Amino acid sequence: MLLRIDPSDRRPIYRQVADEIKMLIAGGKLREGAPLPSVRQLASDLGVNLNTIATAYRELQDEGLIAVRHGSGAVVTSRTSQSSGAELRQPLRTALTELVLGGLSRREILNLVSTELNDLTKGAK
Amino acid sequence: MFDPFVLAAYAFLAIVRWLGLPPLLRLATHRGRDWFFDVELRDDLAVRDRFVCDYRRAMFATSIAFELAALADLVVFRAWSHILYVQMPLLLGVGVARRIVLRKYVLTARERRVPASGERVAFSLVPRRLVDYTSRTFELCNAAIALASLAVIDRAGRSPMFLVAFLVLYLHAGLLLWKARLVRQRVVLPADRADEYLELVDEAFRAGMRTFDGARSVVTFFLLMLAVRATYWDAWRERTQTITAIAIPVLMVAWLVVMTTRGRRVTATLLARAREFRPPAIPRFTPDPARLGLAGFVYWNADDPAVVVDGGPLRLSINVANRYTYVYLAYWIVLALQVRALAGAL
Repeated sequence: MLLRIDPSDRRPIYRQVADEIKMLIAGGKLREGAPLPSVRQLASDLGVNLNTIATAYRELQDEGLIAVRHGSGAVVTSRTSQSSGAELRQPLRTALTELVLGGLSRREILNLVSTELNDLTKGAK
Repeated sequence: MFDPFVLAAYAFLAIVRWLGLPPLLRLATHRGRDWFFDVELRDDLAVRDRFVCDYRRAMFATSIAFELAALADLVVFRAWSHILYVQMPLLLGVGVARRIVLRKYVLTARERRVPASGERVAFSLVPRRLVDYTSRTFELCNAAIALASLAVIDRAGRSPMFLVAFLVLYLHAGLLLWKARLVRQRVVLPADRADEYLELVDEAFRAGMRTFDGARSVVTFFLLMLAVRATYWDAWRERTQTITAIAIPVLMVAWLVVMTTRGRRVTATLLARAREFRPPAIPRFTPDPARLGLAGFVYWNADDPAVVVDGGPLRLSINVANRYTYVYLAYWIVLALQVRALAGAL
């Protein structure tokens, strides 16, 4: 199971880590009960502060996606985020706005969303 | 006159000291002249060659300095006890000094690498735990033999021998600590073919762990031989002395030959496979200069998982806010105290 980080990405590292793990959970590649490395191991591999990874894990924990066990890493708990419907719609609305402003037609946007959704849920049951 | 056992021990340790050097010199350009280990240098060929040449010269000079010190000690003192107090620490010292030289040149090479244009890197999300690289049967046998040997030596009531055995057992624990440290070392993967690269890294890990376990089994055998010596009775005195006197050096040399041959074969195979991949651009992180102290040798950042960071004149600063720093420090202090206690008892 791999986490890919892009140094040229404008998102901070903790966000990239949290988003990547979320995608792996959503795609079914990280299943319920799957262990994640400890904060120390991941921070050491990435060469970042412990707090960066702790923040990413805390965010995932707050959303109910993982459970952090002190000193022994974390485990995936669920494939369902605890965010409310309105909270979930907001990032979609923002992304769609960007695509419309980028000049994409309705059909192109639908194709794009469909392709991304297929890629994301390829391994999911 | 030289004691032949002292000479033999010196020769053995000298061979071990020098055996570690050729791979370090050769591996620098195993990917070709454009590379320094796994870093592609951006300079022109002449500058790249000079860089590699400087590295080899520094490595060689470091090794010569330690060898001269060991030789001088042998010629001046000719003492058996110096094998423990001087020659063995010099073996350890040359290993550390070579690591410092290597680290300095690798970090310099990373600054001179071909610039990566936002190259993506990957990291494994599989927890790396010591238990995954450990054979339970081996550990149980090892611990049982080592502890039983120690108990037998203790019952025999030979104080100096017990101290030697305890020291050996402590070194055993040190190897385990080192193994645990290796499991936690940084692993960065290229974004392309990351799965295959991770497989290769894992194989290299397992090969390294097997070498460690091999070394630990020799230490256990040494303890067992000490227990045999401690418990012989008069009728068997001559025989057991001969057994232990011959068995220990023979096994040590045999182990060295097997490990070197096997190590060379495994390394060659792994390197050939590694050359199929373009190595990842390891992200560079420099510590906050405000957190460096004592001429850059000490670093204070509890939030940094690294024990050693890139800082100071040797590009090596110890993070004194990391709890593992104190674990390693305590280990060395206790080791020094044990050697001192042994010196008093002999």
